[in-house]
Amino acid sequence: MLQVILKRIAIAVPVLLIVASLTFFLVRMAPGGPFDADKVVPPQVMKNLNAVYNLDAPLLVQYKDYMLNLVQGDFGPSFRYPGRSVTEMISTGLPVTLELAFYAILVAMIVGICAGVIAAVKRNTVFDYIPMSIAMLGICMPTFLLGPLLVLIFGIQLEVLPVSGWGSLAGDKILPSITLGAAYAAYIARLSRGGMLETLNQDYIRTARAKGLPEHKVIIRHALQGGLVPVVSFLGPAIAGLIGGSFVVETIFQIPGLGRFYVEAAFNRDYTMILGTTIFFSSLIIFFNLISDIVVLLMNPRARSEA
Amino acid sequence: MNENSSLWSDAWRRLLANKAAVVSGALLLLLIALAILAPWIAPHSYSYQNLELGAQAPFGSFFLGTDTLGRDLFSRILYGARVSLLVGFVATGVALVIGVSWGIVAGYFGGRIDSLMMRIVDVLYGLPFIIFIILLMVIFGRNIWLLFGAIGAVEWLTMARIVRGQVLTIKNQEYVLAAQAMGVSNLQMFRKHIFPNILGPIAVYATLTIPQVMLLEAFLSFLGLGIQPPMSSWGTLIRYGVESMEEYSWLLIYPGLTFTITLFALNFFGDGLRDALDPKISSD
Repeated sequence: MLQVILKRIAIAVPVLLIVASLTFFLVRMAPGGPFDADKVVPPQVMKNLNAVYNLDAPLLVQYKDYMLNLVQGDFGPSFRYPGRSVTEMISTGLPVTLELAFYAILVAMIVGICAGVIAAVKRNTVFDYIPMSIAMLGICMPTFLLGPLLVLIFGIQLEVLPVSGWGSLAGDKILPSITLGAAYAAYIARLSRGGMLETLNQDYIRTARAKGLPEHKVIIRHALQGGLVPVVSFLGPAIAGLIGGSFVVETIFQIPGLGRFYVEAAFNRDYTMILGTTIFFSSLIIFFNLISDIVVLLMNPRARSEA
Repeated sequence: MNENSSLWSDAWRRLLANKAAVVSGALLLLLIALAILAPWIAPHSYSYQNLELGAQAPFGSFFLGTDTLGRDLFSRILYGARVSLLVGFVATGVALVIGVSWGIVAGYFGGRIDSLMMRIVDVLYGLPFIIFIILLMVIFGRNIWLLFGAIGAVEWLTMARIVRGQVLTIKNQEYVLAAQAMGVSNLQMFRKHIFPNILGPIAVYATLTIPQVMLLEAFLSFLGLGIQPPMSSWGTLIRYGVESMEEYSWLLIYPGLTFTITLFALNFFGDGLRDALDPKISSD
């Protein structure tokens, strides 16, 4: 068990290193320097700028310096916003993005698991067909369409919820959380339905029923643990998707989170910011994949003994 | 060869029995036809600006209305379909070529080659590709061919895994072992025995990859990092729609509806194809 976890961690470290190196060289390969877009500056100023940002050193030296700083949690200065460091921007944006992601996952888990479990228990009835059709719609309707539509309906037509912002007006966190969570609610509903159907066919469930346990206890005490394994293993990869979704949701609702910073940096060609956030997001995703792998191992005795 | 064709005709019959899949398939064919014929059937030019007209709700021959520059929305959606579907098919094609060859080589040769190749797939799986695609678009400019390549390069991983699994199963079947014993060459083996048998799963997965690819393109275009003007895809149309939805909601609703229905149809058709080709693996 411990060995498996250690092996996973051992794989994660080189992957992170590859990501960081690949991103570094890709960004350095970008045509033109980071200051080219601005008005023409005298060569001496350019030289000083390059010196300040450590761009005059040979590439491999820059790489070594960057990696050494990275290990200490220093992502370097932002090219676009003088005087602000990338680390600083990450630490202001991150809490907002994490909060948004947390609410979205909460919405997704509550709605998705309830819908999925009910659909599985009431298989082939209206309680199965309707939630599953809505789930299909939820999967096909992209976040960047659902968000604006919700804004149009609840924000502009009905005027019941704020259309943008984060934490400044009452209820302004509701629409972004639903928008980001909806697709995951749909996936989770399908996964938990499938998992529950499979578990409900197992022998130990028949045993529990044969013992005369009431149906709701069979489901809550026995079936859920096995039925929800697919949901947990989905959560790791879902985090990766949530980050992509946060780009869209934060842009639509003007939320000052990391996702919007990233998209802005991509537009402004703020190379150090792009470099830093890419590495940061990657580590986040790799970390959450690791966690969900471990949780799945802990939840599923069979996988535990196989591993 | 006989048995082969009966497998496909069986699948074809099962597919025709599935109403959702048939309707979706018909819808997709119609859409593809409309996209191809767009230059001849579009009622108006997609780029002609009529600033005096401006944004108008649907009327007369502009039955989906016009955008803020007075351009016919229906014609723009038709031309958008060309770009969106092209991205869908080309990027899926790229993913197919890489994924299938990777999977076949890994599965067929096995051993150390297999474990090395699959380890690479595992590592790539852990990477945040959305971020990498954005990075590539930023660094190398927003070029449509790069977009095809980048999206295709991301989507091949699952294909490689599926194909490898299939090849591993087929490789150990008796008729393949017999063919091997008779000294059939590797190339012949691929062509005669392996390839025909993995065609089904490939077709299914390819159909299900197309909507994912289209979604990814639309996502990038929505953020302004994908298709650039004057070209427009459904993603860019939705982006413009969002900008002006407060006054002109049809600019968001019609492109959005078209896009969602298309994704719906692709997913249903893919599910139907999967059920038809392999009743065993059909998900419950």
